[in-house]
Order: sequence, then C-alpha cells, then structure tokens
Amino acid sequence: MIEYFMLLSIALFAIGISGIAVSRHFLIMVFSIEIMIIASSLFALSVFSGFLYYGNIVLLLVFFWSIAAVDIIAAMVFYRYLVRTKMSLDVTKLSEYKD
Amino acid sequence: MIIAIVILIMALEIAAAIMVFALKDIMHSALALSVLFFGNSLAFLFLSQPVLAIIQLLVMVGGISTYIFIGVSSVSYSNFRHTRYAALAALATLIFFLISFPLLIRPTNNLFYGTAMNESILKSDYVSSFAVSPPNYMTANIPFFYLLSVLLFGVALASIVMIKKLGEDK
Repeated sequence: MIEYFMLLSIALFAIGISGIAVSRHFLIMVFSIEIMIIASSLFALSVFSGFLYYGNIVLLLVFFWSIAAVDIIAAMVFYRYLVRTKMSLDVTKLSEYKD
Repeated sequence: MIIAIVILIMALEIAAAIMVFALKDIMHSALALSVLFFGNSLAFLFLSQPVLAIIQLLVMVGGISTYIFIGVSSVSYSNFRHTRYAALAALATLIFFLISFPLLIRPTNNLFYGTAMNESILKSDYVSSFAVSPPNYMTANIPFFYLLSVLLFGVALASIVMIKKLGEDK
C-alpha cells in the first residue's frame, strides 16, 4: 500500500511541474506549487511510515505547511495588487509594466 | 477492500489535480485544490497517521483554502486561460515515468537497497521500540473531525457565494 501512495505523490509532483511549465496564469502557477508541496509531504510521510520506524516527521510537516501558507498569502497579496492596478494576470506580460 | 479505497483516493486526488488546470473559473480551480487537500488528508489517514491527518485537514482545508476563497472571490476579474492540455498531459506523463522508474522496475523489493539503511536495521525490535502511538481521544473520533470540517467548509463556501450574490444584486 505504501507503493501506491508513493506513485500517487510522484504523479502529483509531475502534474505540478508540468503545470508550471505549461500554464501562463499567475494563480494557476501558484496552485501548481501548492500541488507540488502537497505531493512532497505525502511522499515524506509514506516513506516515513513505510520504511522508518523511528524519529519524528512532525517538524518536517510543519515546515511544509508553513511554506504552503506563506506561499498562498504572498500570492494573494500580489494577486490583489495586480487586480487593483488593472494589470494582466498573464505572467508573460508582466515585463511590460514598469512603475 | 482497503486497496480499493486507496485506489479511489488516488483517482480522487489525480482528478482534482487535473481539474485545477481544466476548469475555466479561477474559483472552481480553488475548489478543486481544496478537494485535493482533503484527499491528501485521507491518504495520511490510510498511512496510519491520524493525528497528522487531522492537523493537515485543519491547516490546509480550514486555513489555506478559506484564505484562497476569500482572496479570489472578493474581486472579479477577467479569467483568461491558455493552458495547452496536450502539452500538459505529455509532459506530466514523461516526468512521472522519469521519476518513478526505480519504483516501477524495482530490481529488489527493498527501496533502500545498496544504502546503509537495509531492512534488518529498519525492522529490528530496537528501532521499532521508539514508535509512539497517538493519543486515544483523538483517534477515536476521526469521522467526527472529518464531518465537522466538511460542514464548516460548506458553510464558509455558501457564505462567500451568498455575499457575491448580494453584491451582484446591488
């Protein structure tokens, strides 16, 4: 059963990487970073509970959750700024704007 | 039976991860992302870590998804989408097989074959004596926690939708 979850986390990680590579929407790229963080936390926990019977995984997972939260908060602030200033959410057009 | 549930969870998570890119509205993408968080906490539950599953549920579904919803739904803006689905599928499949071929081919059953951590060390009694079981009062009420989180998340979602409708009426 551990292998199923490892394959699942690898599949989610692949979807996240290719989502960053393919999409051009600002928030969708941030969402795919979230998918990658979720996948890596699942992989860490499956390795921990499948192969390691000692130690503590909680500290590592707290790091994962805090990185995910900070990521979303920064992205939301930037998103609100982009919307208020009527800029485009296309990341390829961000270099056209100069303040 | 358990394997069937695990495969259902896998299908749920992968479908949610694809729906993040496939749906048109950005708020629906956020909803698919929260479904992905929920499925991930179910996976934590099946990896025999119920306390971490509950914390994952509270932090991800309760905190981060609600923050995403409030941030996304309070502004209405043009939602363009230029995702190339064929490129996404091809790239995801390629990266999946590139990363996971040691697991798929599997020369031996031990994943840590050739490293210092072999199976005799990992599964010895000395090491497994460090394992700590979670407290009883949390693990006994896990369906209650999940039901409560789904209920609260539904209430938050419905309130945001109601606020948007009230704003449209004005």
